[in-house]
Order: sequence, then C-alpha cells, then structure tokens
Amino acid sequence: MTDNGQPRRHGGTPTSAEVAESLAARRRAERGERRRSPDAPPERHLDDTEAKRSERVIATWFIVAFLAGVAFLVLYWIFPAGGPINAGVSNKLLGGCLTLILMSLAIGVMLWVKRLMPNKEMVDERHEFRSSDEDRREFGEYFVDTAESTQITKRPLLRRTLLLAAAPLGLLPLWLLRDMGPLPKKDMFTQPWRKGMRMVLAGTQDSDSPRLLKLTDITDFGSAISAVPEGITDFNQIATAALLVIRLRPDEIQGTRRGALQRKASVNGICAFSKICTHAGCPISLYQQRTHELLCPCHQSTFDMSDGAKVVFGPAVRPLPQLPITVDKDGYLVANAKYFINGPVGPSFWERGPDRNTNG
Amino acid sequence: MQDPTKKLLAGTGKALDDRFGGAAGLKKQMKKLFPDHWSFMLGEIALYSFVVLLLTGVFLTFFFKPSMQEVVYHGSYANLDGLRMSEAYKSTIDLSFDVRGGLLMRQIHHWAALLFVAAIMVHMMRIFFTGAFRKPREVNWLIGITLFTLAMLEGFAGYTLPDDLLSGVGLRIFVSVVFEAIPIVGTYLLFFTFGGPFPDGLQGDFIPRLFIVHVLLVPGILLALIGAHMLIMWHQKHTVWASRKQTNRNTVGFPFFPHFIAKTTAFFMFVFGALALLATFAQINPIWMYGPYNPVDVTAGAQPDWYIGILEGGLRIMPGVESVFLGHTIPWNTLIPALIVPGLLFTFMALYPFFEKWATGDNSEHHVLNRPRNVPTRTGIGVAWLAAYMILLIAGGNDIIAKTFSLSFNTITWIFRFAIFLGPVIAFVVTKRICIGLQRKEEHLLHEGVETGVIKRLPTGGYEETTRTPSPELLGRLETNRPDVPEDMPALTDGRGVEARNGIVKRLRVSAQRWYTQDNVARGAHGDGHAEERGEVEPGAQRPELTGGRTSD
Repeated sequence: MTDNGQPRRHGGTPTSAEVAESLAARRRAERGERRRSPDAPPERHLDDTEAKRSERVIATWFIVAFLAGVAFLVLYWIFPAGGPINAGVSNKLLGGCLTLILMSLAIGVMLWVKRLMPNKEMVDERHEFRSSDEDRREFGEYFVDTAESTQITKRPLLRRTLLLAAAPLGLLPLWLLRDMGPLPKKDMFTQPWRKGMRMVLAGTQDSDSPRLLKLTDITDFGSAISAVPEGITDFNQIATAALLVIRLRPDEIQGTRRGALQRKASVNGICAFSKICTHAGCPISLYQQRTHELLCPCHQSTFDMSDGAKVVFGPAVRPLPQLPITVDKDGYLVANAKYFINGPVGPSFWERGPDRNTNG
Repeated sequence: MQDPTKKLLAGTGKALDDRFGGAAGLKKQMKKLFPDHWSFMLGEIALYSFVVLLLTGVFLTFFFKPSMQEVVYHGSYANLDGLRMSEAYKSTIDLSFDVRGGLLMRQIHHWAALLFVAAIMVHMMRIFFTGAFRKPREVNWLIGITLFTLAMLEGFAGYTLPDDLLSGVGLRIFVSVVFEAIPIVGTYLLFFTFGGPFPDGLQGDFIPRLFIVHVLLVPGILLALIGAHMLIMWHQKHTVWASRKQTNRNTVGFPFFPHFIAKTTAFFMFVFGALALLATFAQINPIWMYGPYNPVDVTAGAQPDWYIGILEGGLRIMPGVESVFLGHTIPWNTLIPALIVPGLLFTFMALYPFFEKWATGDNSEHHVLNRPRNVPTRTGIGVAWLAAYMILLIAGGNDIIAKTFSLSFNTITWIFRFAIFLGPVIAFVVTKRICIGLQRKEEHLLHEGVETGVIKRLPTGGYEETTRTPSPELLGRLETNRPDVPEDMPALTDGRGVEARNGIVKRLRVSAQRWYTQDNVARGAHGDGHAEERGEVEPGAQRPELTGGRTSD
C-alpha cells in the first residue's frame, strides 16, 4: 500500500506517471545526463571558508603520512637487524611507521571524499542481459552456417579423428608426472629395526656421542622416553622407527590376551611402543602414569598402555604397534625382533590390510 | 591561465587516446555507479588482503630458500645454535631476525592470509543470505566457492613452507588423512608428491614443489579467477537493497570516478594499515619457538590456522571406524572428516543456487537483494550450514576448551559428536521461526503503525494505544521487499503448461516449492498469525491482491 491508500501496481500496464518517467529517462540518457536519486541526501554546497578548513585538515593528515614515511626511511638505517631483540625493536618501529603512513593516508583521502568531493547520489537504468530475439537468432544462424561451411558437420571422419588425436594428448600430462616419485612397493611396510639393534635417546642421534639406552637407565615408572635405532639419522626412517619407551610394574600389565603379548615383548616391565599414532601419524607424547593412558596431543586418541596400547578413546582404531625388546649382554636395551607386533606402524592406508607382524 | 596539472593530464589523455582510442568507452565506465552500503566492502577486504599478500609475498621470496638441504644453524638466534635444520627453516629464521623489515613482512603476510580467508567467508555469507547468488550471478558464486577452497589450500601451503615443528606435524596429519586415506591411489599420490616416503622423499623434493605451487600455480589461478570475478561483477553491476528508490531496473550509487576510486583507495590503505598494525604488535607464527621439524617431536595444544579448524575438529570428534575389505583398508575415521564431510559441505554450497532455482521454479533475473527474514528457508539452511561449520571449528579446540574450563575432553568430545547432528537442525528451526517472527512484526508495523506507548482512554471506557505511521524509509523498505507466499510462486509446469503433479521428482519439486514459502506471513495478515481465529479473515478466503514480492524485485 502506498501513502494515499492506493494499491501499488507492479506488473501489467504502467501508470501514466511511470510512462512519463521512463520517457524522461530516455531523453536524459540521450543527452548523456542522469537522474539524481529521489531520496538522496541533500547535495553539499561548498562554502569557501569551510572548504579551506577542510583542505587544511586533510593536508595535515597527508603531512603526518609524509613524516611517518621519512621516519621509516631513517629508522631503517638507524636500527640494525640481527637477533630477536634487534628484530623486535626494528619490527615495532618500522611497523609503527608503516601503519601510520597507511592509516593517515586512509583518513586523509576519506575526509577528502566526505568533505570536498561532490556527494551526488545518482540513478542509472539497468537493462536485462538477455539479447533481443533477433540478435540471438542472427547469432545462432551465423554460428551454425559458419560451422557448416567448415564441413565439420558433414565429415564425420574428420570429427572422429580429431577427437582421437586429442585423447592421448590429454593423458600426456599424467604420464609426464609419473617420474615425480618412486612406486611405494613395500616401503609402507618396512621399518629399520633389526634384531639386536640398540636404542638411542631421541634427539641425541645426531650428536657426536649418541646416548644409548641401558636397562638401568629406565628406573622411573612415570617417564616416557623417545628412542630411535642406533646409527639411523635419516628422517624417513626415523618417521617409522620412533619409539616410546615406558616402564610398568610387572603386575600392572593386565591379564588380557593383549597384556600377555605385551608382557612377552617387554623386558623387566619396560615396553617399547611405536610413537607414531595409528590415527593421523602424530608422534604421541602425553603419558599419565596413574591411569597408564597415553594421549595423542593432536586428536586426543587415548591408548591404554597396560593393555597392549588398546584404544580407549578418540578417533584411532588400532593399538600402537609394539617392538619386542630384550637386554643384551652389556645391559643395553635392544630390539628382539625385526618387526612390530600389530604393525605396520602409523596410520592406515589402502594397501595395509589386517594387522600383521611386519618385518623389513 | 591554463592550470599546469590540468594541462599535463589532458596531454597524457590525448596522447593515450591518439594511440589506443577508448575515450568513448572509458567515459561511460568512469560514470559507473557503485552503491554505498557497508556490506559491499566485505569483498573489498578480501581483494585488498590478496593485494597485500602479493606485495609481501614477493618480498619474502627474495629471502626464503625452498630447500630441504640439511644445514647446521649458527645464526643470530642463540637458542637454536648447533641444531640441524632444513635450509627452508633456516632461511625463514634468517629473514625474520637478520633482514630489516623481514619479520614485519612475514607477519603482515601471515595476518593477511588469515584475513583473506575470513573476508571471503563473511563476504559469501552476505551473498548467500541476501540471495545475491541468484540469476544472473550464479557463475560468480561458483567462482567464489572455488576461490574460497583455493584460498584454504594456498594458506595451508604457505603455513607448511617454513618446515617448522608445528607445520611439520600439520603436514604429517595432512598426509595421513588426505593421501593415505584415499582408497586405491592414496599411497601412490603420497609417493609421487613427496618423491618418496614422508617426510623427505628420496631427494627432499617436497618443499621446492610446494613452493612453486604456493608462489606461482595457485596465486596464478587465484589472480585469474579474481579478475574474472571482478569483470563479471563490473559487467552485471552491483545488486541493490530494496527501497523505494532502488528497483530491479536501476542502480543507485556514486560514480566510479572520483567518488568510488577515492573511497576504495582509502579503504585499501585502511586494510593494509590494519594488517601492518597487527603485524607490529601481535606476534604470529613464531616459528623460532617451535623449532625445526623432526618426526619424533610434537607440541601439545597445537592448533592450525583457523580455516583448517573444520578439518581438525572433524578429525577429533570422529569415532574410530575403519574397515578391511578384501585385504584392503578403508580408514573411515580419517576419510570422512578430512575429505567426505568438507567435500559435501562445499559441494552443497556450490550447488545451492541451482537447487533453489529448481525448488522455487524462479528463473527470472534478480538485482534486488532479499532481506534474510523474507526467505526463512534459505536463511535457515545458511545458518544450519554455518552451525555445522562452527561446531567443527570449535571442536578443533576441544583440548583448549577442556583445559580452559577444567572439563574432561571426553565429555566435550561426546557433546560435539551429538552437536554436529543436532546443532544444524536446531539452528534451522530456530532461524526459521525468528525470520517468521520478524515478518509478523513488520506486517504488524505496516497495518498497525509504530507503537508509541501512549494509552488513550476512550469515551466508552475502553483503552487504546495510539500508533504513528512508520517513517518513509521504513515504509519503503517494508513495502518493496515482502516475503513470497505460495500464491506468488510460478506454477511448476512440465513445459506444455501442465502442472507438475505426477512423478516422484515433480511431486518433490512441488513440496520443495511449498517448503520455501508456505510459512511466510501473507500480505494483509494481521501480523500475529491469528487472524483466521479471530474471524477477521474468512477461512480459505482469497489472499489479498499481490503487492510486491516477485514482480517488484
């Protein structure tokens, strides 16, 4: 309803006022003029003193931007980089100047728009995108006629051999990408542990004196130590070989089938499990001695370390694989097999299939 | 008396036109009108963050070394001295600490990436809830969805390049849940992408490959798509908000030159300035604190950048399910949250305009925006989608929530497991009810006027509240944008003019059409939805004459 209570008309024949307006619009368009918006705010009339004042205000912001810019150029030379302290100071100064330059410019230009530029809100006609029926028909006819003139419609042999020629070309990039890497082969199932291999405290494998783990080193029942195979520093191998070594009191290992297997693979209550989460491959790290629960910090998969690392919560499905270990004659902890129980280690993949004791 | 500036400009213009022509066309383009409404700035924020990303990114490439070559650090940051690390990590540390302005550029770059994705998302919310994706703008909607997806990938690639511990663990998860989870070809994809096994392949190929994807391939596609997005927008012109002055047949606003160009330049400076301010005072991604990547270590409480949060949340709340099928493993616990759910969410959004067109049968051109309340079903769907998105995003921080509020993360995870199914449904119902309530309020305003709170005592002893007529702007807004009721909808015919009533698909379509409009408040209804009960409208009576809705927009 409009103000005067008459229903508004939408479809159908336009009212005389609408016709008049549309004619006027067309005349204006021919003259290159446009209608001002009816509800537009009143146009600004620039008062000379007012304009002068605005000019000075805007110019002040531009001068601030200029000074900040000069400060940036100078401070760059005065404050050197080198180390976190210097970088921090330099960052604050240069960043502060840059912020000031950009913000002052933004404010200056915005004030210019608001105070000095014409604020005439305008109206333009909008036309339907659809071309006229005639144009569409002409285009279609031209297209079809021309296509026919190339003989493509009449010569199926041409068409088919052209498509045939394109087919291998499309596959070519796939072929070319083949040498980006080797085939997986058995790589996903292999890991570097071998029977009798000693354990090195993770993080010391690169140093001049890698720290080998002895049975007597692991006295604490609450600790969880990361270990890697002796002599191996390559990340690809460490990514599958990393262990988490924990110690349980013999009576803490549960009497389940899993527990029995776990006890058999351990020595003196010391168990070595794969550190790589069977969910998404994060190295697991948060061990709670009281509950024997091991928590993956990435997605909170929780494993019961007193029951063969069975999953008790979270998105993981499979228990952490366990490496059978023993003690050699010198008292060092060593691998007692060349496979993980319930391997291969790490997250699932298509070729994995059921659990198996993988060797490598 | 000729002003030298004017003379110079005129001279340049003449010289250019002599050689290229174009004054006639440009004359028209310079007068192109841009509407003046804050909601149109959201896309500009995305655009300008992208420009900032290009500018700072070029600077970073001059110092970053995309190499997995192992080096021992002896630089200016003593805490890392003697550590083995990749050249990628070392060069990122060096450009942060030893290059003047390096840290600033890196931090602006990272903040701009976060803002870029966020601005795209908020911009798309505006487009969705106002129906700006409708014909003729469906193609730009599809480009927008593609840009959003690419922006996420591009961000993740950039986040991974420094080869620090945090991003390395993120990459390890990505490899597990994307490559390894995909049936049949997953392992091959992993080996081809990395040039061997994770993380280093045989030759350390991954970081150099990722670098070229991050600085050339994806930005190239982004640039081309953004260009297309803007050309289409320019050609189709902006949508307008419904009011008395804005209709489906006009555009209202300020000319490109000088008004819009000046304002948008100022806005670019503002976006850049805000990012510079963040980079100056808000530290982001301090990779020197995480250390270089190694496959044994992990940081607790680690969080990815915000736009990866929906994947992270899905992974956390998905229960452990996998199947072994003919000797092959399908890890549903990673496949579903990392690929299937986001795939469905994004595909649904991409196809939504076409679904709505199919459901409503509305194939006409739309340039006037809907107010979200007037299309409650669409608004409900959008809020339900956002609810799913937000629940997954928040679930990605379940450990942080558990720690902050001293709750068990098991409980929180279970809450999220239910919430992801219930949340969107509740969000849909509640949103739809709120929209209809707002429609009733407006219908009431139109018929009863604005309440004044002044009670008048009538000579007969009764009481009555005096009302006043709504302001012209409000009235204009209410009148020009009304909800559609079933009677407004185009008849769903089978092409020969026969109403579509037979066949499952056709019947589905008829119900879908009703689903979009049947709960809307009819024009002329009393505003509280109880007109029939009071006997003011005869039950089943002809609805009042159509005024507004379809034909007016």
